[in-house]
Amino acid sequence: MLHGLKRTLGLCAMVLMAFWATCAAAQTASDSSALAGPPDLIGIAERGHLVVAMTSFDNAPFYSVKDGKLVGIDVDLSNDIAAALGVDVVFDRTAETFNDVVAKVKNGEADIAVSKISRTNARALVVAFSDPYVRLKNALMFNRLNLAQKSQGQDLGDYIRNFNGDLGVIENSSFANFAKLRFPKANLVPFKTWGEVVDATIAGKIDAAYRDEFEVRRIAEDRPETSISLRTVTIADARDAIAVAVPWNAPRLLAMVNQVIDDRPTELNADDVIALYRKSIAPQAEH
Amino acid sequence: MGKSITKLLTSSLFILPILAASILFGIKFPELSKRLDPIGSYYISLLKMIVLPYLFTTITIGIATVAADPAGARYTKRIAFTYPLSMLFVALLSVGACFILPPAGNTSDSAAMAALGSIVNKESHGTQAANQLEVTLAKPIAQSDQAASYPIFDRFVPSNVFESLTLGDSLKVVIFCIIFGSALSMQPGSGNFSLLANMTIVQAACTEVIRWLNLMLPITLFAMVSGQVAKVGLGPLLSMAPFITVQIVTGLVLIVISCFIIARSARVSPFAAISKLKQTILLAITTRSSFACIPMATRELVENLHFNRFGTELMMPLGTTICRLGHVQYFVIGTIFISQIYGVDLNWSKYELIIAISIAAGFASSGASGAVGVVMISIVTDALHLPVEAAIALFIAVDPIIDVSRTLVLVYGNCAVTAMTTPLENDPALWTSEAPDARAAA
Repeated sequence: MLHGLKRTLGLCAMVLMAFWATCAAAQTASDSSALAGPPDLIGIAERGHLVVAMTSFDNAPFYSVKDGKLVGIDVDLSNDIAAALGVDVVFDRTAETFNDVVAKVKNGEADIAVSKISRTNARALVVAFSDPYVRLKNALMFNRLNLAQKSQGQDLGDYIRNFNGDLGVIENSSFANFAKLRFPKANLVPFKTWGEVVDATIAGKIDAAYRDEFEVRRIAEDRPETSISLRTVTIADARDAIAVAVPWNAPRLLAMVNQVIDDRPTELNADDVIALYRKSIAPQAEH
Repeated sequence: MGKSITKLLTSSLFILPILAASILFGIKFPELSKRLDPIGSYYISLLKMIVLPYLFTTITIGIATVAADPAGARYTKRIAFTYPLSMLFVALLSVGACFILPPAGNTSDSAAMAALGSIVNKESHGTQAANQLEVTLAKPIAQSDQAASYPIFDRFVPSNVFESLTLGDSLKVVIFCIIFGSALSMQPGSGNFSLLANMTIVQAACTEVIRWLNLMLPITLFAMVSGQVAKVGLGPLLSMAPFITVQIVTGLVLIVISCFIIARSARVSPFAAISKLKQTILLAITTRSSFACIPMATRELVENLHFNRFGTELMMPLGTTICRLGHVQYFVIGTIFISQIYGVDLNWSKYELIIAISIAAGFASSGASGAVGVVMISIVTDALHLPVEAAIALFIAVDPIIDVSRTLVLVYGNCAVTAMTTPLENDPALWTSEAPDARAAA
């Protein structure tokens, strides 16, 4: 009987010891994984800063240098993301074009790109995109005289749906692709810069320019004299999603970026962006 | 006592200082003046309230009387000639004025163009119509079948006279009155005479109301003028100076020409041609509503300048409604302004087109006052395939000033057209618009 009890106690002790050992082993395993973290965040955490790619040129109110300081919607968002990761932010502003910015993320030279990047299918093949943080409608900017002479009084909606004039775009831009899809009958005229597209439209060399609502409405803010010769038509059912580009193999980082975007109080629209733009270009008057 | 108060309230010694004070007040206290503006619009509403029944009765009586009169055919002929010819004259003069004073000024001056662009931006900020339009690429699924329509004729052909009366669509009302008045004159028996006599009483009552309202003019004038002055910003005025200049100079030339025509027809001095119509002129300047001026102009032409009452009561309301001299001038100069702004060269055939369509658009603008009249310029620019939305924003910005000149040309010009076509009345007993039985006696 006593012998039986001893055996039972001995068995219990062994079971307990085995259980403890298993628990300890499991404990060690979970401790080591907390140190490592999701692999896509480890590099950033170890480095201590988040590298954000942006174009070399300013793009107010998204990002621009004001009084020696980089400010704007994209700068705020980058800071929020870095803060959520518990690291500092470093801006890499060596990319010349929007496509170059996306390439930086693709090549691993930057952690993310926050640079008023339009989400396009071609770009989504090489990088992952966050949820949009700004949505802008597409817009056409017509030369008023060409519009009046070519539309000949027909309904403007019909004329635009079947637009077959000369349409200016920035070459290799997201809008050059959108234009092919949305205005298949138009004759696309690519230009190096947006400024050249605008000048050609004002001069009537092309009939219209195609970009997002903000860029188009900005022309009237920057150059009021163009309001006489140019007319804006926004397209309600063609929207351009501005999103953060993240490497395709960084799911935790993407989730963090989306969470930061989702936690922002409001989604900005073109009116807000224009208002911010006015503020950003206004001389230091509001003091 | 009552007479002397009436006299004081309508005397120019009383009104001119008020006019001057209200302009100063408008400049000095723009915010306060803008708040006074509704008083002016209530007054204009009251005037319009009574003008529609006045117009209805006056034109019906006029047409019925003239149509029954064997000599009446001469009015038809005169209308058919003088209305188009006087509008053609105004259009030609406006084209000439644009040759001497280019309405767009110097379009290569980029600062001036930037100022104009800013006005477009500012004006279109609220409605965004001039600068912005939204379309969808997807074709609306439920597309309504659009029946063919001719927009100009839409404004002419009445379908429901009561609806037109309700909406204050004076052109359709006038067209109904012409048709109805002609039919009335064909009815045998004395029945139509008693109907006309009744309508005459209605007309006289309307005139009486207008007389009362006229006594309120000096009080409301202050609110109307100062409010109007406050509405005009100095910026748009300076940027649009060449356009305003050519509109006002052409308007003044037309008023001087009209003055000489009236003086000649009424056998009075040119000064009297102005002073005897001073109430009408004042009303045109302050209310800027040609429609509201019809009864006053008719009364002054009959009572002060002694034109034949029947002729005046026919020609003045009819002319103000369809012979749109001020608008023709406005459309011609406005269209030339637009073509200059956009650097479109005009050749003779284009000028002919501008003149012809401006006259047609003038007809179509009947009953449209203020901004609605301005927008009608699109009839002309559409025909020439010129862009109009930006220009309309500019025109509306300076319209408080131009509207004065346009209304004055329309009203005073039509006094001249009426003077040309209506004989003088020899019987002093008929130098009145008061007694309804004066007509019965005739």
